[in-house]
Amino acid sequence: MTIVEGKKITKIYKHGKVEVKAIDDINFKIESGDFAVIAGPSGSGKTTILNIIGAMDSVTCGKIIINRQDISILNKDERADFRRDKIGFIFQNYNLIPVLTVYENIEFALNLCEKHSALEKKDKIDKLLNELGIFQLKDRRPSELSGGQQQRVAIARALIKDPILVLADEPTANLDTQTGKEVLDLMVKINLEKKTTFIFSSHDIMIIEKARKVIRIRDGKIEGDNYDSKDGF
Amino acid sequence: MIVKTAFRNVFRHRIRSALTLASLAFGIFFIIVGIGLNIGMERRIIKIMRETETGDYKLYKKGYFEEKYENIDDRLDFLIPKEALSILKKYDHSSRLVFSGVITDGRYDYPVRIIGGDREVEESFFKRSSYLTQGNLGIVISSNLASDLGLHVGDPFVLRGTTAKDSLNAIDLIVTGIIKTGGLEFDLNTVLIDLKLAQEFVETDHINDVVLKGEITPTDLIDLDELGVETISYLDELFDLIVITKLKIKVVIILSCIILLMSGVGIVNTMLMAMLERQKEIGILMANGLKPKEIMKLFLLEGSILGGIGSGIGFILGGSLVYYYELVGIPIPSLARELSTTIPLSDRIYAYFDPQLNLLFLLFGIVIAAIASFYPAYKATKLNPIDVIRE
Repeated sequence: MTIVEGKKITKIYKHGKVEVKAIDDINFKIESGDFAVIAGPSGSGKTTILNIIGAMDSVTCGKIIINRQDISILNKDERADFRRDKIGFIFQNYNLIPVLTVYENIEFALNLCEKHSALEKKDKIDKLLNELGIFQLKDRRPSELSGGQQQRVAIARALIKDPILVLADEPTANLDTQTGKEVLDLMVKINLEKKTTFIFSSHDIMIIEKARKVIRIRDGKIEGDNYDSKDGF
Repeated sequence: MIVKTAFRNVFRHRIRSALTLASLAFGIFFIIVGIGLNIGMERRIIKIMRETETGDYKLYKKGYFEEKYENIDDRLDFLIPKEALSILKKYDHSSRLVFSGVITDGRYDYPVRIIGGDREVEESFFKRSSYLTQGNLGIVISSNLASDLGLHVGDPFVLRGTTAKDSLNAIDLIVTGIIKTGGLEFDLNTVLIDLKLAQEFVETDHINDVVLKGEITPTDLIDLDELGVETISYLDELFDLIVITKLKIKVVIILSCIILLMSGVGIVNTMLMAMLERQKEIGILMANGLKPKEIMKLFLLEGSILGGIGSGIGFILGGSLVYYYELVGIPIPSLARELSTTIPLSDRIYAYFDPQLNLLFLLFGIVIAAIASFYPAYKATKLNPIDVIRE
């Protein structure tokens, strides 16, 4: 089943009188349960596509359909609701809320989208923390964690609301090779076990090698769109 | 969770928050103490004046009250008709004869105000004996007068004055008591003598001043009016003093508003810095689905928490101080007492602790802080999450 479909998407940014075409009339599809990567060099437009899929940004023209819903017609508040309920984000810089503990960072995301009893919430968060191997860190603040641990917490925050899509923007870029591999393996494991759809934006060869689908992009245009690619940039 | 986050954000930069809290706390402290002292002063003035001078109502011959400052030496021209006394019989009142005179010590003449009243009635009305610093009721002179003239209980003095028939009169008297009420005008130059003695001295069997306690019926008010007697409530009687204290309260409010405005600017600055520092975090919250109005709520909440804590500290410190001053009072330096001859305050100022009013100030501080947070909150809602997350 197709979970993400981009139809003739164009994105133009205006900087004063100058117009920059970040995405130029592209079409793509991503299937449910995919472990997909949008790969390309810096400035190619991969993060822009990820932002459009994540309803963080709007398209200039074209349609973006997520789970049979056209999100290109949503207004700002509707896009916020959509993100809240259906999308999990993982960022390069982890971006956890520094004043909250690991547990609270995850709880915050859960509170935003669903109403659970305190006990249900605790069970759900504890279970996920155990799955990701960070249960023992739950009372620590982000500043007390290593980069790899913070990224695991960010993954937990993205997954806690059972999103239909997890979008990860260069998730291994700030990690050393070993830690990056561990974090990536963890996401592969979740993808296989939970059938969660992951879409990455990255030029990390390690991610591209693990991906079942690679959308290669350059200068806002898709250069290649293939499954089970072992090619890298 | 938003409340928890807001609360922790407030204390992310402790020194910065502490300074902001301090300015707000000082503002609320200042307003509570300033207004507490002024209201206390106003209440004390009214209390002292009611207890020593005015009762609930003063009755004069028509025309006197309006011209009382101009006619201070002509009180004997404003004698109350005797028919009025029959109306006043049913009321708790003290009939008095008040006139001006001088006491001489042989070298200088001291202008005095003589109040002739029934000793027992005056005692029951004004508890004169409780204010006596020396001696007994009878021929009582006020403390400042005694001090200036060097008079003590048992000392003789000469009282001179003009009678109702405009002839001069003088009488030898012996001090039986010295009184200090706290009413500065009273303490300055008052001589208390018996009504009959006063009437004999000024050669009249009338009175010119009635102090009344309780309420007068509308019918009697009309009857008194027809007899040419005006009835002045203590609030009208003390109007000038109350205006002065109200003016002082207004000055305190204006000063407090300036201080709170400065605190508000401090809060705007603190929140704006917080917003700039946390742009990425705000972007993350937006990415997780927080709407602009919820971001605004978070910032307003942080501002309100700052306001609540700052105002709370000011409320507790200011309230405690006002409550303490309500119980024990603040001694007034003698110089200030001399300068403030129009304000009857005794030798201490007592503050007034009004919990409801102080809670209102507390609320005011929170509202100021919330309003001050609005601009930074608005700026936060306008951030583009894509830009700030990638920065």
